Amino acid sequence: MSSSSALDIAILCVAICLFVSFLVATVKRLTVLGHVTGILTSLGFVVSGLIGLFHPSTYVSIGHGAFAFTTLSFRMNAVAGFFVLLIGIVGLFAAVYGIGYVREYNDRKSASLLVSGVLIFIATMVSVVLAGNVFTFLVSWECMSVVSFLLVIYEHEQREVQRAGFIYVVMTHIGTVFLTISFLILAYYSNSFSFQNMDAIQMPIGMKTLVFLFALIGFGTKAGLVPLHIWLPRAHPVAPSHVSALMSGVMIKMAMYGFILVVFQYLKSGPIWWGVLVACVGAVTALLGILHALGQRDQKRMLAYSSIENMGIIFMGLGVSLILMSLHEPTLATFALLASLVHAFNHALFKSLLFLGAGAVLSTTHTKDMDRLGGIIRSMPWTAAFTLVGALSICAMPPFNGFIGEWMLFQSVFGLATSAHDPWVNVFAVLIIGALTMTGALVAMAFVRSFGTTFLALPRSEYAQKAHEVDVSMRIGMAGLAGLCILTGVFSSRLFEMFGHTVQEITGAQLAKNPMGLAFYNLGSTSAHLSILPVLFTSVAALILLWLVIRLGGRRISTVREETWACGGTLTPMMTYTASGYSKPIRIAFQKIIRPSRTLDRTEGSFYFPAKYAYISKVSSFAEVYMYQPVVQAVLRTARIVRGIQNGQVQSYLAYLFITLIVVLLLVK
Amino acid sequence: MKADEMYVILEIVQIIFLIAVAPLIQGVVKKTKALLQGRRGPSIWQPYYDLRKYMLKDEVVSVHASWLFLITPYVVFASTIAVVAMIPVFMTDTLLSFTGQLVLVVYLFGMARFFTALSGIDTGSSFGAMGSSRDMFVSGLAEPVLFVTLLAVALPLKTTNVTLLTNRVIANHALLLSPTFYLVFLAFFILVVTETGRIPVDNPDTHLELTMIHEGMLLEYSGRRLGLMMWSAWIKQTLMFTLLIDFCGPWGISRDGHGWILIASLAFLFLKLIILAIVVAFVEMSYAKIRFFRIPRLLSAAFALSMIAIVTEYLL
Repeated sequence: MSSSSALDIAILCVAICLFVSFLVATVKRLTVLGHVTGILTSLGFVVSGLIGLFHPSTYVSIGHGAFAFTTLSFRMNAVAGFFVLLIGIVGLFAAVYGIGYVREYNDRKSASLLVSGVLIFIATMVSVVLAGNVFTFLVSWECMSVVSFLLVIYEHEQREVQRAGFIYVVMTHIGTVFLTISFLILAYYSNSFSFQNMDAIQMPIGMKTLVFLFALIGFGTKAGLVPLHIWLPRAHPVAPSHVSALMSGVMIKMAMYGFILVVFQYLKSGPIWWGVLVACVGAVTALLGILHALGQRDQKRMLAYSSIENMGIIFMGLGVSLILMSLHEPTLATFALLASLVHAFNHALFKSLLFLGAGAVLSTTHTKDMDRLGGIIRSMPWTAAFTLVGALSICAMPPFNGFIGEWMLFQSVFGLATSAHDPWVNVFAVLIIGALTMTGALVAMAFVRSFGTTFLALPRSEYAQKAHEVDVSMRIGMAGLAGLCILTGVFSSRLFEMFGHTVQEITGAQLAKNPMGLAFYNLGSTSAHLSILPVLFTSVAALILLWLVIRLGGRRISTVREETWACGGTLTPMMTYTASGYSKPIRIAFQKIIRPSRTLDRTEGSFYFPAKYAYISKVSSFAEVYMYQPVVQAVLRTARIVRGIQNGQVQSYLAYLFITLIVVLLLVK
Repeated sequence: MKADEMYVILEIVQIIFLIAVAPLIQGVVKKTKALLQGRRGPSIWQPYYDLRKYMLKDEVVSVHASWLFLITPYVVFASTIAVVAMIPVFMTDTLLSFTGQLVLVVYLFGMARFFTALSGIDTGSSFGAMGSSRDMFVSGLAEPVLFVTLLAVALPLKTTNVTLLTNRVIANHALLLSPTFYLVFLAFFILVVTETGRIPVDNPDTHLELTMIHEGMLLEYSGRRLGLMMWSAWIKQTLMFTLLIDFCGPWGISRDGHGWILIASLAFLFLKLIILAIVVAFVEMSYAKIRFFRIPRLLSAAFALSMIAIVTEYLL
């Protein structure tokens, strides 16, 4: 097997996806074919990605267009392989989950459109990754954005969804403008539109910086970096849940892929402030993301904010890697890049899992509001267990997979902090570690809150009482991802051996034989590499010992079930903690940042005898209040002034023409 | 890890010692507090009697509790033991030792906290959820401070392996003269108070009061499970003391322990633990519990101290 066969498989699967999605959308009652195709082609992508991971680049061009640059060109290498694998894995489980999930829409609207949309979405994402020249990349990027926009507005009869879709489509196009410019500059200096000739281009430093900044803005918009993130918490939650999983789990990683491609491969490295900037943006994104997540009641919106936070962590890692490259520490830089990739891989798994879990809850209770849920661990035991695995993974609890990525990030930032360069770089690294840990601890709070108030305690509404376990296909979809979360956590060193080729392809530097054993300044016989297995073994041994001691020394005890103590009263669902109550300390302590507000309005009854109150509490987005609103207002104000000259009378328009003519004549003369 | 079987046995003995001594340290703290308050107080062995009682008692579990509530004490206990296996107690060799241990230590504590916080919500009791919310909030602020403080020690020694770190601190006598050392000690002490849930951050003696944080989450536990939770909390307290000793005063811990040296270092460590327990009790007695929203200030003071320590390290 070579990488050309990997490329062939991938392109074949993309073609099948597109063809079948056309069939499913047009011919009635072919939804089953769509499901089967989704599963089979995703498997194809997994296989193709796995082969691609271990082989050097191959290119293939199909169909020459009217102009030289409109050739469709594809290529496969270890980097593309990594991302194809990612799409394949998440796509596979999302497709399985979709079988049960789309049934819910059957009586309301056309499920076949949704199925075919998901197929096209997966196909376009793969085509972004496989793109071998600028034209293919941008076209695929645009198709991916448009298809995801259409999927976001699938439930377009709701106003909230329309608005979310609008903001998404605007923001994503602003991003694409910056991308197009930066790619055109790259193409100009490399005298070619093919990615083949772009590795480490010679460019003046000013141009390099421009390309870097534009790439950061362009890809940052897609990745949801603060302050370009405003579309993400709107668009991700309103899409159907398996689409949310694909968007949060995979689509935002396409931005990471593009950023790595442009900055790490084509620009190679730049001045140290590039890395510092990226790391700072990442840190701010991570902290603001998780603080906002703690302010949400809508479960899927909370997950969307958490995706922003995770992209922040990934970009922190990329920034640290860039700094290390500028400091000529290739081995450490490669390790930091590997850390980002591993975290991206893990995030794809657990975030998709969490979205699928939230979707399962949504499909049976018909609410995303955590304050109204509660107690559904009894009616949905499987979903609860899988969601718990996802929550433990995202909180980076050992032995689940999230831990490994964060551990590697810590180690690489620690490497930066101990490197003997500028003391300020070292202090900066310590601050980055502080941001990383604070994010980690707040993530734990966010997910204790979301899991606890959704699944534990008592059901707080009739929505939650209606909950029942979801059907087999949805459970299989979640179980697969949950299983992978545990497997990749426990056997993490296998993962690094696989992704080692990817980072070597990017940086060109050789990684240590066993990256986990990459012991920084850690010599001596006592140092072994981090392995989760002995820790697990110790814990289990301790438990067995404890059990033996109790068995041998103690007597059999009985367990009585009694009502929870409620200060002498009876416990009612009203008494149990809500998600809003849980994050109250955060809202108070960080009120400058998340700006909580609450209003109490009497809706029924007189002033003295109120019958009903409406209590609204919400948090507003930092970026929206301080950055977007002033801009929008300025634009509107200018428009209002300019509107004065538009009075609708033909005479005045003729006068404008006349004046313009005179001015032009004067200027020409 | 050395292949020598003798070492493995000693390393396991080290774990058992810490687990066994934990209730005694709690007893010493309680006794000291009682004496300072002018009471006779319970015997220093009382926690052992309590533990025995808990283990043999029948249990009452809430009808609303799910399986999470039932497994939590075991998860907490197991993850605490995993940390114990990584921390040098009376000799620097530990059962588990690898690069990047510090991160694992912090996250294993996080694991215990995660499950405790969930079980606090699980029974539907508002006290539990309130304690859980507060505990996660405090940890959100304490964890970065803890990490940066650990780094203040780890950075100049260039390792995140606790065994190596302790070895290097022992070898480096000049450290006693550097200002960094004292700054880190102070910051670490604030953290020990926070992490063990003591006044001025939390009050371990209150039950059923609106001020409680950690105890609130344990409210619905009884019998064997309560015993395990309490024991884990005591072990964690002793662990924090040991970490403080390892990082800021490990002199006396044996490096290639055999024979008499080992016994001497064991006695020395025991003495240090008792002294720390008495000091903590003194601090607890001389402060009032601060308001919940003042805790961030206390922690940011600790953060500032360790940042200053790090900056002086680089600039001096």
